[in-house]
Amino acid sequence: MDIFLNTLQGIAQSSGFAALGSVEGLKYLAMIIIACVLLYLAIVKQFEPLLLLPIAFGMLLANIPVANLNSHAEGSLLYYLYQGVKLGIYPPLIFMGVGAMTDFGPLIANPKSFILGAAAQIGIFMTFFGALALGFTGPEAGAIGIIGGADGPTAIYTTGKLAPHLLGPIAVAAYSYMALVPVIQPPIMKLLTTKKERCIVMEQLRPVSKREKIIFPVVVTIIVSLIVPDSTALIGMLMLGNLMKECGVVERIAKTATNELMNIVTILLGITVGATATADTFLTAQTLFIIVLGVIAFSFGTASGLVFGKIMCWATKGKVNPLIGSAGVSAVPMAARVAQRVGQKENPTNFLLMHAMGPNVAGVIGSAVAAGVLINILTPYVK
Amino acid sequence: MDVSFALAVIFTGIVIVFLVLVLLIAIMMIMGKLLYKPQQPAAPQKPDTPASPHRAAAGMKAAPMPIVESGIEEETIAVISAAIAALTGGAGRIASIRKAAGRSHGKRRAWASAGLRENTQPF
Repeated sequence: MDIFLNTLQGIAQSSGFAALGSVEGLKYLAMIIIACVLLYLAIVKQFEPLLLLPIAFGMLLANIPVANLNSHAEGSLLYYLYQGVKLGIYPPLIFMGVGAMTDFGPLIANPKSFILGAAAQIGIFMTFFGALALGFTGPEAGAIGIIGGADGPTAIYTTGKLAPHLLGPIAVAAYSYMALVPVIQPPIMKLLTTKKERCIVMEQLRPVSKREKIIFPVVVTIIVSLIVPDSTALIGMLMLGNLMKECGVVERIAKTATNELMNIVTILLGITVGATATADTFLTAQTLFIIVLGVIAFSFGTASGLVFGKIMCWATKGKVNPLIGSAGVSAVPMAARVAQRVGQKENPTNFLLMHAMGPNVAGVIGSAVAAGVLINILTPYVK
Repeated sequence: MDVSFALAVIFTGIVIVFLVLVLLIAIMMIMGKLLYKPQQPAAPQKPDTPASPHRAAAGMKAAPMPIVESGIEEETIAVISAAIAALTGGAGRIASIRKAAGRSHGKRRAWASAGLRENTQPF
């Protein structure tokens, strides 16, 4: 009987419940609650569920006391899976799937959309300044600023290179705000545009030939990679995926890139990024700052896209609806849908979606270029 | 905070992003000029001999007017006729035009849904 009771006592003392009783344990408890809130947001509110769900579950696993199952616990399952993030493997693979799903036709038909995609990246650099002012180091500020690119894989790739210890809060902020694009953007869009501007009906885009669609990914890869070699992994994979889709001769692998590969990598990326958010790294004032700076980055990106949209509207004598500028913040295709919705609210016959897709996909290229620039400048400062 | 460092990063970053994307605009425009050839509407062929009023009348007889349900506008009939002619290369004949079965409240028309689907399918 004594042996039985001693065994039970031993199990109770070494269990997670016993660890939760300490002050340190309360931190774990707080993290478990946060993980459950994120699971609720993913499942019930459907905030980017494909990524937020594995991220939240990874966070839950990483904060089970005693289990020692987080991305930094050497020897654990998640430690090995995390190497794909640490070595910068998963985000480019996701970009390949994104490329295989993206139609760059609207951008090829109206290349001026690139300007709006570039303008929306100003938010990244404004937030970089804000983060430096709040006491973050240069590389940390660069990783926080990239949230403004509204591009999850780019944010994770850049953070993995510049400030891996901030991966958890930055990933949560980036994906939460991407899900909140329909909430964050419309008030800024209405504030910065007049009713007359929002009602502008744009001319139909010209058709794009298959040859143009095939040449586009090759040209973009060569040009961008030669100028900003640090963005080659992202841009190269994005354009490879797109080339596989457009050329029409490798349908099988294009389908694999869009479905099976993308799904597998999404699971691995989500769970391991979530598992970096342990109580020690997540429950800090830094996380709070990152959440605030993230929304500022998004808002600045949207605003600068809109301002350039207004400039283009003025320069073309009213042929461009400035609302499409807000779609420059990547978040494909959500930001374009928001531009469509806001435009159609003012003029029910207006159909801005195709016009907004141009700046939207240009924003993906723009944020990858911005990421490459930040990695190039700030890597020497990484400690 | 080193303000000069921050400003240098911001300035360099914004300039490079714009430079790359403006360069892509120029290349895409050149590519569009070289590869895109807008389709010219086919010029109406002059008949070798002018059609006589008699032949024209005979032609009209060969294409009987479709039975059209009352309440359908002439514009709608013209659009449907043009679509059928384009699709069949002029060989198709319309026997009758009638309104589709009533749609339930709040739903789009079939044509509107088809157009919307075609435009948004890639996204």
